[in-house]
Amino acid sequence: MNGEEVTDEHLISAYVAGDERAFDELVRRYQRRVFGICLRYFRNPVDAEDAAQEVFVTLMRRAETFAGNARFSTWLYRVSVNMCSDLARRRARRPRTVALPDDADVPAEDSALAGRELDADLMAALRSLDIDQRRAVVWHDLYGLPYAEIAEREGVAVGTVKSRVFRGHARLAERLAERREPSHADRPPTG
Amino acid sequence: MTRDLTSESPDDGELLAAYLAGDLSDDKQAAVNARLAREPRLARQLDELAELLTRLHGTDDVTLPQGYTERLRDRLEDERAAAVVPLAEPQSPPTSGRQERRVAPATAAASRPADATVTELPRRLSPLLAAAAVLVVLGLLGAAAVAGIGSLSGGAGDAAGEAGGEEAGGAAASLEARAADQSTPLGDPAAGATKAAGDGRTRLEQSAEPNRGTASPSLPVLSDRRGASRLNLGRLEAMARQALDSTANPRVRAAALTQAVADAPAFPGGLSPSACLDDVVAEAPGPVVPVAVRALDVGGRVRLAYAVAQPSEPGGPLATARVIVADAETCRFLDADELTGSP
Repeated sequence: MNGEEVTDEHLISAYVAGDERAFDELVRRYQRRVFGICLRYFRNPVDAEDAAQEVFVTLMRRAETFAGNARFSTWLYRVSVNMCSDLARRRARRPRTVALPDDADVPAEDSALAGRELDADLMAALRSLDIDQRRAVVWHDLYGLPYAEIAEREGVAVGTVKSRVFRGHARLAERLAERREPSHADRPPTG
Repeated sequence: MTRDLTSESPDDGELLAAYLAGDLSDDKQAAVNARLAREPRLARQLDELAELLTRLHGTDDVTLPQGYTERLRDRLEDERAAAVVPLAEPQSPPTSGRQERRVAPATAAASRPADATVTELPRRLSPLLAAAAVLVVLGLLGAAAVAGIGSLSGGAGDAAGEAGGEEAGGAAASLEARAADQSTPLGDPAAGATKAAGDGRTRLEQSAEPNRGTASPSLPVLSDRRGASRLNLGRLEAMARQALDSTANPRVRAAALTQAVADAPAFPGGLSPSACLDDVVAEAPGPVVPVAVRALDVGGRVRLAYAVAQPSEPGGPLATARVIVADAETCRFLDADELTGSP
């Protein structure tokens, strides 16, 4: 089996059918991403590694629950987020956050974005958000601040922050989709 | 969020973002799942959102810790093995008594028990092995009480659990010290269970509560998945968990397996599997039923890791699985930091 030519969805089906190599290939493909998701959550490589191992153990045991409506990668993303959240709750340990500069009155989007080397499309999409959404997304997604801390900084309710973050994500996804697939109105006439 | 976001609406993007973040109630998650099953457009939207977050968070660009891949592989191999290898019944345990505690010269020969499942130590540890080590599976054992074995709840859950997962199953539970139980005969957990401690769900990171009414030190238990997984003890822990689910005749199997652990042939190198068994039994608060023992070399020191099961309450079924690690030479119990080299 040439792993690179086989879709994730095919691999997970093959694993459910008993092909252990298919599972190994999925682990190879996603070990970094899952660790990255957990690292972002815990801000601690030790906890992140523990959580990542649990994610793959869960995948091993519950692969058959993948319904196949969305992509495998999307499903694994959710499994990872839920696992991190669950482990953190069980350990009664809040995810750690990065230190912020004291003068960070306004999110330093530019420096944060530069540090992350976001591609031009994503950068442009971020800049297209309204200021509240952009601040919330930058704080949450680039600096890793929890909702409550953003709410405190912004002087708004946690629910408001969540709404801004989620709406910001939705708008970003829309912008990126538009850039990939220009609408008919944007397309030049074809004659 | 009081709006109805679970029907098709312009707010689908926000709804899906909350869904990916795990921020929806169970009901709303179920509603989204139902919609995803019948609305391919919504599923594509969810995929795009997940892809966006992966890019935004840079999760594909992180640097993996050194040895991460190997540790993950070993952990998964442990899980895989535990899932597919049936635990062996001790069919004919040796008749000799418990062996003398010692760490014999590495040249001493040792035979593997015919009735045991044997596997090599994880590759991650192999360079450290001064003496070859094997995992001796001595089988399942039953619960301390006849009733309720198949209806355990709480401490003995599947470590995977729901998508979010359970943490370390019963091994995360703490010991509730009961000094009065320390003389409980090992071979008869049912009798001891009548005096056993409560479930002790309080988390134990590295040490148990001090024993009450005794000068005995608390029993350090390698109770968290972090320590266990780093030492590749996941399989050992899984065996103890499996013991909790046994539906076999509890009294007979517990007695047989306890005896089997005590009488098991030596590890390669001459180390007796039961070298620290007395200490485990003596220090544990309440009846302890050993399930399996593993020898490993950590930093040049030989350790014995015991998978044990304990009842959750007096007269109750076995509900807690633990891995207890001791220095093989001194039988001093080790906590997670000592084992993993953490400061």
